[in-house]
Amino acid sequence: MDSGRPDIRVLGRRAAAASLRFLASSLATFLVILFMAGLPLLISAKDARVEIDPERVLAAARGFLASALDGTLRTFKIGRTAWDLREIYPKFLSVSFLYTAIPGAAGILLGTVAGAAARSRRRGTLDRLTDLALGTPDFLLILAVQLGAVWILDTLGIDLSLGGNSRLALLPLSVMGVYPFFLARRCAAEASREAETSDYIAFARAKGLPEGWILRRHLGAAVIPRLEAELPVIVSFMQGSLFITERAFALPGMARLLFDSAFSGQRKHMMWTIYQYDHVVLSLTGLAVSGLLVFAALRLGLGAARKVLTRE
Amino acid sequence: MNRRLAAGLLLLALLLGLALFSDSIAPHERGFMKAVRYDTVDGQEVMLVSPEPPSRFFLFGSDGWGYDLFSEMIHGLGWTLSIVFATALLRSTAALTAGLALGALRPTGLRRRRFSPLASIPGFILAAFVLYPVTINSRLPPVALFAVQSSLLALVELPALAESFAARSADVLGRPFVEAARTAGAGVPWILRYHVLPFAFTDWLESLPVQALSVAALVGKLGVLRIFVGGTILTVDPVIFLPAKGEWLGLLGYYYTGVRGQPWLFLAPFAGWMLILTCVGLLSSGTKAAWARSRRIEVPE
Repeated sequence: MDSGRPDIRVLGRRAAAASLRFLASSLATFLVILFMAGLPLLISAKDARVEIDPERVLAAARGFLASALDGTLRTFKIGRTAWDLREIYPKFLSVSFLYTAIPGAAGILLGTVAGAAARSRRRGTLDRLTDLALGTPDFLLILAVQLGAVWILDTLGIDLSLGGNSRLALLPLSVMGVYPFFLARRCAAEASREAETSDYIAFARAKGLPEGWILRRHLGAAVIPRLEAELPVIVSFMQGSLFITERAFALPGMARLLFDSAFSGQRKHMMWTIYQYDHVVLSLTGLAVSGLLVFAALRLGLGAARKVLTRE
Repeated sequence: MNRRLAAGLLLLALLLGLALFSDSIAPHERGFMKAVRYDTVDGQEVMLVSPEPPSRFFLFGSDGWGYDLFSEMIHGLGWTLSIVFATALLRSTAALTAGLALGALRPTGLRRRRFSPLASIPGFILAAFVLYPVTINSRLPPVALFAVQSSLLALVELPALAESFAARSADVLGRPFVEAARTAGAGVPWILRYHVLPFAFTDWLESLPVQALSVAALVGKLGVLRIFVGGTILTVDPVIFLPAKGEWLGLLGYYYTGVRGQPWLFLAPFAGWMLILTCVGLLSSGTKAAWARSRRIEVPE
């Protein structure tokens, strides 16, 4: 007889299959990262010809796995200065995560509210401003914000780098929040305007339901699903901006570690930098993990908000 | 010809003229530098040390090494126009071709957008990894290096664009008039040529300014990493990464650290880039309007 409870064996099989899929995709992702990190070793330009040498990538990957297994992969160097990776890696990972998750969540929340507020208005100046902001290259926006902050500091004497010495600085957080804010605003405004002309909203009003209740329901049922669909794009874009933000504001995060490992790391002599393959693999892995965590956190947040608003 | 197209062509002609006659227009030859110079101010001879703000001698100012920004920009304009237009054209055309093929192969069941951890690794990092060994003190001929750089930049965001063209093709292929053509015996190439391409072409025109913007963002970010279109000259004593050709977007990335003390180094290439962006926008919307008019389609302003 069917007791209405899910079969424990079916659940077990599903959990095992999901775990296997997760392990397989993690392994595949890691193998791709091993290859990506080897790209600068794969290609060289000698005697006016481009040469490809896969053996160098394989040797570097083998070296990475050997040093990871025997525990020698512990230090990161710039010049003669060395850092213990076990200390800096978790800190760098948390900086990258926080500088993406916090502005991501805040930007989506504020953008959704701003978009929903425009539901009964036609497209106007704010919509054009949104299009302009989304059409401006992020690195230009970041540098323009820096320029603006410097100008305000020099002209008015107001220091905008509030909390510049603390763990979270306001300026880079604001810069990282620009894209999710405008994208969420655009999505919310479009979805709200569509919903506003729909029959079910007219029916709800005809029934005499309060406006607040209607707004909550349509935010949950119409706006949040659209934001959920756009979330991969938002997170991917923010990861790209993170690299320039960490570099421009000198934040100690995974993207910065990647830059230092690849382009200005350990020096053989005084001038020449050495490409640190092992640390590039670690920082690329850190970026992937950070992106995945940010996506999971924002997805959970949107899901919870949808449940609360629609009560379904 | 409509006004937007005419204005876009005029601006393009002006920019091309500047690029073609750069050697005659630029006040100094490529690579000219003057870190210290003497000038007469209020009847007195004074020593001026770089970086200098805009003046009669350095029209757009000079950088810390004494390079004349105006001359560098005039010499680099050709590279900027080439990389932006060629790469955007290459990427959009490749994406259109791939999108038509994908749309025809799987007209229904386009995949839902999902998140991959690999999407957390920005495309420009991969481009930088590939370009770094071939760009720094490159021994490749300039044209070959440009071809490598442009092809790679076109590849970076190609899959997403191809997917959007595929979605468009699949949408058109599912319409009743295509079904009617199929029933009447039309083959896939004929349907793609006469039913899908006219719709996709408008999208292709619309994609050009967006792709130009995307290419510009990529080139600028690579400039932050000291990877410049046309090559990077690395000197070892002192260690300096110099843009070999003065390409504008690379200069934006190169001079971003000057935002604090020497804003002209950022503002001059930024203004230049806005001019190119305006040109791309006018050309795109003007061509779209002309195309719509030739097919007697109403296009809102």
